[in-house]
Amino acid sequence: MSPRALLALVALASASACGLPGEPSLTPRVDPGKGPFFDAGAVEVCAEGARVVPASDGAGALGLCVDGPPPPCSSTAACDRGGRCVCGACVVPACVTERDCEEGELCRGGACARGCQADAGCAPGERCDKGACRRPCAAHADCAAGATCDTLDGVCLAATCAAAGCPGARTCRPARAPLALDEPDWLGTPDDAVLVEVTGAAGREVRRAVFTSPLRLSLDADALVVGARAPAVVPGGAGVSAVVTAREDASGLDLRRARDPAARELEAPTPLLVDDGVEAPAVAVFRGETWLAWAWRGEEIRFGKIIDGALAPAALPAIRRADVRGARAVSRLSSPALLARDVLLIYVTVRGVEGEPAIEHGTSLPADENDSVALFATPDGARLDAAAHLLVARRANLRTYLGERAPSVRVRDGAAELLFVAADAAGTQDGLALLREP
Amino acid sequence: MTSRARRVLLAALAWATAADARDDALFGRGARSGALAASDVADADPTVAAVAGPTRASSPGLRAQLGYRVAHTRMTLGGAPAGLLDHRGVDLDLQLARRVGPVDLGVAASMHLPDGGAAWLAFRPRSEPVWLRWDAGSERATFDGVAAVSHRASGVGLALGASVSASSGGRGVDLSLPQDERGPHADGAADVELAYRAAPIVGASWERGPVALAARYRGATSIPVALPTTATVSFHDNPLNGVTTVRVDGVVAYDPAALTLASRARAGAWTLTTAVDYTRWSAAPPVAASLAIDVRLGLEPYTPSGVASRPRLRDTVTPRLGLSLDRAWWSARVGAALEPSASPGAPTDVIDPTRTALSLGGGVALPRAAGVEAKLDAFAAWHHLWSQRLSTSDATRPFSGAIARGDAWIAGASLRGALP
Repeated sequence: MSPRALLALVALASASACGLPGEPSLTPRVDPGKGPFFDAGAVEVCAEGARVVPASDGAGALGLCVDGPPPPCSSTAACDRGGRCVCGACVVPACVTERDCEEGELCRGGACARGCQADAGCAPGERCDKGACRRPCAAHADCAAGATCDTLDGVCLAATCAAAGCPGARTCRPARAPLALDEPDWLGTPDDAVLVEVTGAAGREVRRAVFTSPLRLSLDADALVVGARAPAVVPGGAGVSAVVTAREDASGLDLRRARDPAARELEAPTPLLVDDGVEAPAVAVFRGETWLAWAWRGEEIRFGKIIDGALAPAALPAIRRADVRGARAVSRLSSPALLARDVLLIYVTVRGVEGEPAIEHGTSLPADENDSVALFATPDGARLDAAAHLLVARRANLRTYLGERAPSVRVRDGAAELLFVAADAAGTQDGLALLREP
Repeated sequence: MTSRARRVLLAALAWATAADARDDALFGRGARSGALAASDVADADPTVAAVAGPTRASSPGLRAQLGYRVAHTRMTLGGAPAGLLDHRGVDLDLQLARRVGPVDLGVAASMHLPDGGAAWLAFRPRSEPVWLRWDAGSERATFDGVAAVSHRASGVGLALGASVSASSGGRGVDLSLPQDERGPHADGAADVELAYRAAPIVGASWERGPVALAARYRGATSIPVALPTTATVSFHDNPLNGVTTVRVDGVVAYDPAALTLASRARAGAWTLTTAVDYTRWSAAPPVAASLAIDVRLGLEPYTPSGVASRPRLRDTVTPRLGLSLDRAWWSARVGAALEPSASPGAPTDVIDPTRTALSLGGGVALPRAAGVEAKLDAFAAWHHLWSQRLSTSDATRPFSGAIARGDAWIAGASLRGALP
């Protein structure tokens, strides 16, 4: 090759290599489950088309009068006539209290509506009627499913059917189902299902539920287990091999073998552990062994192994309140979760003081207690490591923390998802919510 | 090779040299130096004397070099791409020397200008691994200058200079969000000062016929960062009204002090170059930046702050070897280096795999034009990053047990011109 040809070749190679470097990128996530977690949003839980709301406010169920099945939807953008996508159907957003509504909305006449003083304060196509934004109408057909046209005022109003039935051919469709949800646990089945403890008018039961969209969970109509709590899924084979539940009176744990890999039916319980003060089990298969963790009297998280349907001791020491780092004045340990990776990750619900006291005009204002999630890990089933910080810290503002309890963690597409029971700053249950690693 | 030369070579190999985070030191300087795996300290081309062999700045003549280099790092962490940036940039080198009585006097200057900006700075959460020399934010503009003198009769040369870089400081970002009767409005100002910092460069050499010995010392450099951000919010009925100050203090892109002992031996058209770097990583300050957040609202919560601990690195010894064949109008070069990890033993979260470098290159003399002797050089190098396991003592920490490995490809070309 002549010098000139070589010169041309090198010049071409240099020119093709020119270009601006990209933005500095963050370190990749290679160790899912250890955080940081980011808020993926509240989970909309649905029961037979009704939106499940926390039962803690004492308000009852509510229905809406509809002419027929409401139009299906995946988001509110697909709804017209002022309807909102609630549990997969375009209906008027029914409510009993403001807690049923989105932030900034009022509950007026059984429907959520934005407060207003004039038409200018409402969205396009709405009108300010008696302090609430309403959709104007001339006939029922102008209103969303579950609403009726008040021809006197010319606005759509919710057609609720809490006590009385519905007029004419309309039927009452459930819209609000007050239920307390607790202790969710991923099933790990292809239908993206979880088991969850449900407490309602019928008592306490364990139900199966399926994620029909990333943030929508549909509860099965029938209970999987009645009179038990805190389900923990035992993986096995191609799906679920069994479910461990806690007894309602906290007297022990029972093992119920699954009749099918998706755990749609369970066999009769066999006692796994009998001890006073046993709550909230968690199960994971770590290095070929089925590990069981459970909370004991709010003081300890204890460990064992399930071998041939019986409980065997584990060498791993119990987690005690003093082991928690990142929270002060820890008063309770509960609801663990396990995730088996190259190490066994142990998530523990910790009740303690997460925030710092504030000082106002020289007076110290102590921070409130709240639930949060602490991370522990064992690399070998014998040694226990504790994270130096709480794993989850959602804040209402710079010093008020929200509550997170009863986590269940799974890894999907290389990142962990943490499903948990959320609470507001006052500790009142707020339903299920999801955190996700980026 | 004579027995004396062999002893000199062995003595030189017994010393050690450096691996620095600077782009220059990572990937070599100019196509000739890159092809010789940066072993050319005792036989550097005078145009790159400021970076490679300081005393070579006294070689009589006027020389300039323009080069471009690109380095692509394919490191994975736990099997996932680490997302490190490519290093790309232009090298500009200039050297001037003349004979004055029994000595030669000269100066040389070298500048590296990365594409896209004067520097990349990246801060990472402390829960993540510490990147050492491979940090994506470690490339920066550098300016090195030396003055050298050599005594022709004795073959002894001395050089003194400095490597100059910039630190970032200033009053930082001041953002104010007040509200008046016309509504909220924003006032903001950003004041970033880039102050110069210099590290010494010292060189010494001895040359007699085909044999040359050289020593080079470069002081430690880094980019200290001290930038506060203050946000003042004053909206009607806003519970978050107040002043929030975030102050970032730290050192990034640390380039440790390094002592290099090197040799050159010629036999006919063949030239063997060796160098051993001793690099003082143990003096490295905390690699990550410290962070302090002071939130002052109507209430007064605590002031969270964190300071990264020292990385406890260990000094490294890096042998380098180069061989070149120079003919009338062309040259061929190969080089190799073994650069051990500066990462301390387990437990560690410092990512710095041991590196093996193999390089290949060549050059051609271009037709003389207007009395200028021009040469075009090109090289390519492969750096294999040996597998390194991060082993932290706490299994709850991210990346505990993750394995870092990969390789890097470097290529470059440079055009040299000389007026004798």
